[in-house]
Amino acid sequence: MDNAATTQRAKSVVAAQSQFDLYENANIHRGIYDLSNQATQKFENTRTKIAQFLSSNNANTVAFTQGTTASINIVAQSFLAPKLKFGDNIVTTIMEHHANFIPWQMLAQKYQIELRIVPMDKNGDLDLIQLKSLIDRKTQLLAVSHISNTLGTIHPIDEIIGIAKSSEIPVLVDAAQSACHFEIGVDPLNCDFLTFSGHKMFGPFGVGILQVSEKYVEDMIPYNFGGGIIENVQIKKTNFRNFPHNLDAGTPNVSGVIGLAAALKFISEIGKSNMESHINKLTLLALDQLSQVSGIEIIGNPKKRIGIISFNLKNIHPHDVASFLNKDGIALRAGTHCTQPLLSAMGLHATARVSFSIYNNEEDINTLIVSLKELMKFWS
Amino acid sequence: MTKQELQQLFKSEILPENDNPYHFQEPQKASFSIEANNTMCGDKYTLYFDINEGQITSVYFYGIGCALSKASISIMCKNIEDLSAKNIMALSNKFIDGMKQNHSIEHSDKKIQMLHQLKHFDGRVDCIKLGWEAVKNHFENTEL
Repeated sequence: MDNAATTQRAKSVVAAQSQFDLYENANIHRGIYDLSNQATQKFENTRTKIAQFLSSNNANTVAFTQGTTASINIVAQSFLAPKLKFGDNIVTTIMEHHANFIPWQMLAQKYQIELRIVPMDKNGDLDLIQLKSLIDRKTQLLAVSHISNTLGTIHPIDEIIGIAKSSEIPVLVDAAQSACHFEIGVDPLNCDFLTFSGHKMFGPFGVGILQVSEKYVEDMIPYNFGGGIIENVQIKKTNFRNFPHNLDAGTPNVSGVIGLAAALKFISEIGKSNMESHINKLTLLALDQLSQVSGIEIIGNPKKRIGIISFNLKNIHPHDVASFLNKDGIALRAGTHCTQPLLSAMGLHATARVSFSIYNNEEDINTLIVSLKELMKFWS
Repeated sequence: MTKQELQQLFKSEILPENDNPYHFQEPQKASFSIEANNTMCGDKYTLYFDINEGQITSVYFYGIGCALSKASISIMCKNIEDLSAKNIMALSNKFIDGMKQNHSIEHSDKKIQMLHQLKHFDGRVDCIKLGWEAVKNHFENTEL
C-alpha cells in the first residue's frame, strides 16, 4: 500500500526490458548497423506512443527524462531561468511535493524574485480565491500538482489552469500521481508543461516524461551539454538540435524508455477508467473502514480524493505504526512524504500514508484495519 | 525480528522508556542546546545541557518523535549526565560505531546494550541513532 511512492513493475515491462537488454542492446542515433537502427526505431516509436497516450499527434512535444523531479528541474533551468527578471514571481502551492517546490524556491532565491504560495483550507483543498489574487502580469509560471501525494486531493485542475490561462500564464502540471488513471496531456488539460515518472505507473525506475506545449517548445533551450543534442560543433560555436532532442545530452536510458512503452501498453489494456474506478472504490472503502478505528485521525477531507489517505493514530508515531504493520505484511509509508510545507501548514510532523493501485483489493483493506485495531489495543 | 519479538521488545523496553522518558521537559535555563532532527520522518527534538566547570551537570530533552527515538534519547540523557565533553564524545562514538552492522561492542549499561541489539531493525536504525548523532556532531565541533 505504498503505491504513491512506486508501483510494482508489470511482468510485460520486465520482459520488454529484458528482451532489449539481452538481445537488442545498442546505443541509439549513432550506429549505422542494424542493431543500433532497431534500437533507435524502438526508442523513437515510444516517443510517438507516449504522445498518443497524452492525446497528442506530435511526438516532438515529448522529452524523455529521468523522472518527474528531473522534468520539473528542466523546466526551471531550460525554460524559466533565462526569462526571469527583477520583480517577477512564480506561483506554486503549499501542497506540492518538494520536487515541485524546491526548484522554484531555488530560482526565486537565485534571481531575487518572489515565490508565491497558494494556501489550502483545513480540509486539504486549495484556496482558489487566493490563487486568483496571487497571479498577476509579473507571474512567469504556475506550477501545480494534479493529485496531492500526501492527501490524495484531486485538485480542480481545469479550473486552476483556466485561472492562469485567463492571464496567459504558462502552467506546469505535476501528474506523477495521476498519469496512471486520469486522462492527461498538455492538450487535453490545456497546460504547457506536464511531468510524470515511469515507476509510478508500473514502469521502470529512472525514466520519466516532460511534455511541452507547442507554444513553448522553441523556448526550451539546452540546460546541460554534451553529445547527442548538437547539430554541429565548431571551436567557437555549437548549434543545437530542437526540442525534444536538445535536452538529453549523452546516452539516454533506452532500456527504461522501452520499459515505459510496455507500461503504457499495460495501462491501455486495463483501461484508465477501469483503474480509476477500482482505486476509487478502494479509497471509499478504506475511508469508511479507517474511520471506525478508535484513536485514528484521517488527515484532510478534500472535496475529491483518490488513491491516497494519510492518517495518524493517537499517541503512536507513524514510524512505529509502519514498523508494526510491516510485521503483518503491510507496506505503508510514514514520514513527511516530501511535503514538509503541507504538513507544517496542517500543524503536523508526520503521517502514516496508504496508497492503492490496481492489484490492491478489499482483503488488503480488511487486513489493514485488523492490524491497526490490534496495534491500538497493544499500545494502550 | 518476528512480530512477537517486536511486541515483546516494545512492551518490556521501548514503551516504558517512551511513556516515562528521563528529563523530558524544557528546562527553565540551559547553558546550551542541540537540535536533533530527522527531516525524512519529522522527528524533532531539542537537547538542553547545563554545564559547570567543564562538566555536564544536567541534560534535558523535549520534542516530537517516534517511540524508538524518544526511548533512545532518554537512555542517552541518563548516561551522559555528569560526563565531560570528551567522555560524551567517546560514548557517542562508541554507540554509533556499535550500530554498524559488523561491529560488536559491549556496554555496561543494559539499556544501551539493548539499543545495540536493534541494529538489525531495518529502517529504524536512524531513529535509534538520532540523538546520539546530534550529540556527537556537536561535541566534535564545539568545546565546552
